[in-house]
Amino acid sequence: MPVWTEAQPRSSARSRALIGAGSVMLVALIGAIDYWSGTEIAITIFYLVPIALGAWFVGSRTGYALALLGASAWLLADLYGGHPYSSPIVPPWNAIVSLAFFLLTAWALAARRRTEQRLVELMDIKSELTSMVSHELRTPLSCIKEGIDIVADGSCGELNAQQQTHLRTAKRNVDRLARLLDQVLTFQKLEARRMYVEIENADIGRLARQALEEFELPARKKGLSLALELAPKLPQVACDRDKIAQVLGNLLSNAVKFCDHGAIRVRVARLDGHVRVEVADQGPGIPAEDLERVFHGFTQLAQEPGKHVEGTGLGLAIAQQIVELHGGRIGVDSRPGAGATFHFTLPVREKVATERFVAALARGA
Amino acid sequence: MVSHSNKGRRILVVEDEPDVAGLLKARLESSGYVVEIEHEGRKAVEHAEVLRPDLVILDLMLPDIDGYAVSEHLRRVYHSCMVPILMLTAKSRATDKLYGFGAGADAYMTKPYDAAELLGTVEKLLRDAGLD
Repeated sequence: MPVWTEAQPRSSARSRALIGAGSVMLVALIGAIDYWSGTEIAITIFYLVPIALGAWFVGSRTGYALALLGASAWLLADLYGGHPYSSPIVPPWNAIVSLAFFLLTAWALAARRRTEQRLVELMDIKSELTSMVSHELRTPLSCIKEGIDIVADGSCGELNAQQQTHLRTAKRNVDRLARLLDQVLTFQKLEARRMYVEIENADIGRLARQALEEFELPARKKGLSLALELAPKLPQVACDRDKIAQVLGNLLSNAVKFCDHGAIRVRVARLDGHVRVEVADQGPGIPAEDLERVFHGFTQLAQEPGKHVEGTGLGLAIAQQIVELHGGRIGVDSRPGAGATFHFTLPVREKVATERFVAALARGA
Repeated sequence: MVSHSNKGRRILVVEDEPDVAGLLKARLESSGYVVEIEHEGRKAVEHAEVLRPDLVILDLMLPDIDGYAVSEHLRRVYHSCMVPILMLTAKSRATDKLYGFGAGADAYMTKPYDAAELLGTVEKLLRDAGLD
């Protein structure tokens, strides 16, 4: 028997009992606006997807769990709720839809698991492939290098000046190719999030000093001066020393590459909970519209005519990935003609035990 | 102190890649060593037992048995149990290296190798063996 709810004046009636998919509402308002009619008509209302079931489409485990919860509640409401307007004639839509959701969810979870497994397999294949390719490329490359070296150092007879010049050119380019290959492989590993990191407490000031020392010679050759400014009492930073040394190396190598006069300054300071490292040069600077792009892989900005600077354009992309892997941020401030200042932060953490992990796991990729 | 020269010291290079082997040979010969090459593991073991080289440079990835197995074989046989073994391989992980020492290597170097480092290591291994 229907339970009647008092209608509002002005032709509207509300019910709070609409839970099911197949609720039937009996409406007795027909015709004249302010008067109740004597005849009743039945309106059947179907809900398609209650909110909880919508969560299913999120596709995550939590989404599925919420959807199942919603479907269960729906089913229970249908079976035991006895909401006022349900009629025995209506087929058990709730039960059917709920059941369908259960099956669909089970299927989706299985499909998801299969996809995840396949992904893991693909990652393995990719990393196998990378190491295979790197080996296959390195072997011939080192053969070329060694062959040139043997001839160049005079083991097979004296060389005249012209021969030496040509061999030096060959050698320089083989070395360059080897460096590029290394960079591409590093980038690939980072992209695949298969970088192995070893987190230890490190003295960031010392890392900066060591990085600077490595660039003393090339800087002096170009007549650049190098300066290091360390804030007093720098805390230890939990990081992978080799990786952070690589970041510093990439930033410094860029600075030396693009700077033709003046000084390159490295500053290390504390900045609320982080350590901030700056590499400032007095090079040509970067136009505002290019600032965003510099960290993208394979990007080299337009260069002055007649001046070619070599590189893959991967150095900054690699630096960015490594810094972000550590939970830090990297950025650049620059104006054309006023040099560029690259800076990155590393979070200061409590003393950690040595942690080793594959980056893939750490980032939950 | 016994003074010695590289001249005439015999080195067996076990390396499946002919180009790499050829270059190693050229490099070592230019320093006065006598170099022989084997491309397979089993043949290298036979060679070392019969011809008794003064030193073995051993690649790890070989077509038949791997370098670890070759090293273990050499260490078990009377005539070759003392021969200095230098493993020269592309395998660069610490575990590979430890496994190499476990299998009897005296030195472990990774490819691509630095020629000066290689020659220095060879000389050092020969010197250690000669002082025995």
